[in-house]
Amino acid sequence: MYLQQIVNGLTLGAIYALLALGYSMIFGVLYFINFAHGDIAMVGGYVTWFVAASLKMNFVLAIFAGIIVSTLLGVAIEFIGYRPIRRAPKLSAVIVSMGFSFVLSTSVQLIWGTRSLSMPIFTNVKTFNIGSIIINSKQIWILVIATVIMVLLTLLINKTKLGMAMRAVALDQSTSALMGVNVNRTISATFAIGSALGAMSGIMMAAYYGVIYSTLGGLIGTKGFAAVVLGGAGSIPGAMLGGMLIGIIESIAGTVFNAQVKDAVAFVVLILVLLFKPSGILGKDVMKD
Amino acid sequence: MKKTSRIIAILAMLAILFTMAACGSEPAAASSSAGSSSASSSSSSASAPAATEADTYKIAVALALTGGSAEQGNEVRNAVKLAIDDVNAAGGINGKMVELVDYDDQADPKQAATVANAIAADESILAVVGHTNSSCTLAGAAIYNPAGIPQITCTSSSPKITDAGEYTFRLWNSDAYTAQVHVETIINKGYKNVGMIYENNDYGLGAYNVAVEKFKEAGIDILVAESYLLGETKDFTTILTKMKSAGVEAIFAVSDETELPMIMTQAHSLGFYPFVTSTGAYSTTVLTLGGAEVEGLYGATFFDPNNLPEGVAAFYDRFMETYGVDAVVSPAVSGYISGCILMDALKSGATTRDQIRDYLDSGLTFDTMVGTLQFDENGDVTIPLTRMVIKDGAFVGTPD
Repeated sequence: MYLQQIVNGLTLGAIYALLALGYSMIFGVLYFINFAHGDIAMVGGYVTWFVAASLKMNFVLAIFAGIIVSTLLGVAIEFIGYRPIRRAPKLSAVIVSMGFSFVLSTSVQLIWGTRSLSMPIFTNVKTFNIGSIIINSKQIWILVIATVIMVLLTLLINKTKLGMAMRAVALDQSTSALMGVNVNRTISATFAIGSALGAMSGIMMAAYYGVIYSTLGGLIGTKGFAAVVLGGAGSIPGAMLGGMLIGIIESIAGTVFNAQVKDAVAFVVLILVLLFKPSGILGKDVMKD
Repeated sequence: MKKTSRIIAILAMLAILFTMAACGSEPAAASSSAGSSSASSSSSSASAPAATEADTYKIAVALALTGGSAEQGNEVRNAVKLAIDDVNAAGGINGKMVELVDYDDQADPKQAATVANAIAADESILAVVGHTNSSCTLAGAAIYNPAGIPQITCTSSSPKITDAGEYTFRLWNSDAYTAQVHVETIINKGYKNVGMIYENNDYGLGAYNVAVEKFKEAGIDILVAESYLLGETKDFTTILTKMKSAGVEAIFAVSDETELPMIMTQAHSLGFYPFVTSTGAYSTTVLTLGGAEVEGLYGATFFDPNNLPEGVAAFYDRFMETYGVDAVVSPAVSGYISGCILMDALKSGATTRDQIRDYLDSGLTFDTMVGTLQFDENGDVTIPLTRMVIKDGAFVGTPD
């Protein structure tokens, strides 16, 4: 049974990890947690639902539509909300991000209502037995897509010019600017990539459960945030590891105790990490002021 | 190092605060929108043009118009409105129109108490139809009873409501009866390895306590019983994996129509195909969200869906035509009956809060589309249930 719970946990963990990556990348360059991130992910899920269920278009197209809308939304929010106050104390940006979170979730409720809607993608589920474990095609898809995305992201950060610019901006914005890095464009790119990852996470979450609802953003947002703190804010491998661990810890805790403990576990982990290793598992101890 | 940890600590505190705020206020944000729309619809429901306060009898609905149980809430609201519209179309009562006032409790007991206080403070409101969820009904009853406002709930089933107070009436079955029907379904099918999933609120716990007792009488111990938080829990795989490895064959699910399809879908994706009977099965939402995954799901309803009594079929047609919906379910029936009984009370001359309460409690029998009903000394009724199963994407009555 524990093996089965680990498989379930890994699937959820992969979804959390994708969301945590966006949080962590944005934290890396701007040093604040973008609380609107979970809601950007939720919007991605809704757009996918809208294109697939209401416009009855192909699900691949629907997924891309969701990703594109979220990406544009992320970039727009950075441009309208965070860029003007980049020099202000970080708390201002955090509060602005909370504002955007409410605006997004309420807008979605106004447009599509508060009822849960049926997500029409990946509905044809096949199950496979591997020993005592059962894994279904949805879980396989989620794990495969998440792994591919994470590998591509790692390559992008470490092997491309854009990745180098991101790392430079994360280290020191003014020095990077002096070295010829276009800081504004790099930050926009970070938001674009982070929001696209978030959208993927929101779409997967909706597809995994087969439903989408307006409070999805808050739900996965908190799990993603806990994953970031556990893995180490600002660290890309840390976000992946943190997400996977939160997913697995949740599933195991739900088995050992009861299902209600499950959703609280992320916060217990959050508190323990802050008490004993505030920089997270893979977080760097040294950060710029 | 220090600085980093301080930043993260502050962010973490904010995150926790924010989540708490989000839990409470996202539905609130929803209601403000729904509130405005329902405000407009309620003014239209007062179909008396230019009616001033003294010219109308005010009846309030306090229901989950948004939130986890919004579907049931809106169905009841629309059904009550239908009953009121009938009376108004016929010229009102004693020359006065009846006005419906909408309140949204967002399926949240805290909000239910706020709403109940607002109703209690409005002297012109004569009676309340509400609330939707048992926990909300109980929270409201604690305010309506001291304030002396008659309350009829149309969907709350917790056995606790039986003793909620002399102003609280229920036109819906108590779980003491409903749970018994579902437990009997499982026992009659011969299952011995039983599991239970229930909402962690008065509704779920009430049914759970009854089920434990009934199973015990039949010599069956529940192998796995797990509760979840309505509106927050979306992942049931942990619970279902536990049940599967414990060898559970049949599940009694005390779940709403939104969660039930998720439970079924997630069970099947784990390769787990138990027999499931649920209190939330008879809802079209189950069919639309669940699709092929809810085939074979058992439930209980007031009537055989394929063999509706004549009055019910006519009501269904009218409800569907009025509100442009494809289907009607039981809460609408009890909502309409509640509305009609309140109209009868007004017609009989009971035009104060206390007179309406006395009218309901007078032992009168009401001839309704579900048969003859009478509130017992605790303000409860029993509406006989019949079993049904989902077959080929439709509800089908079944004798067993």
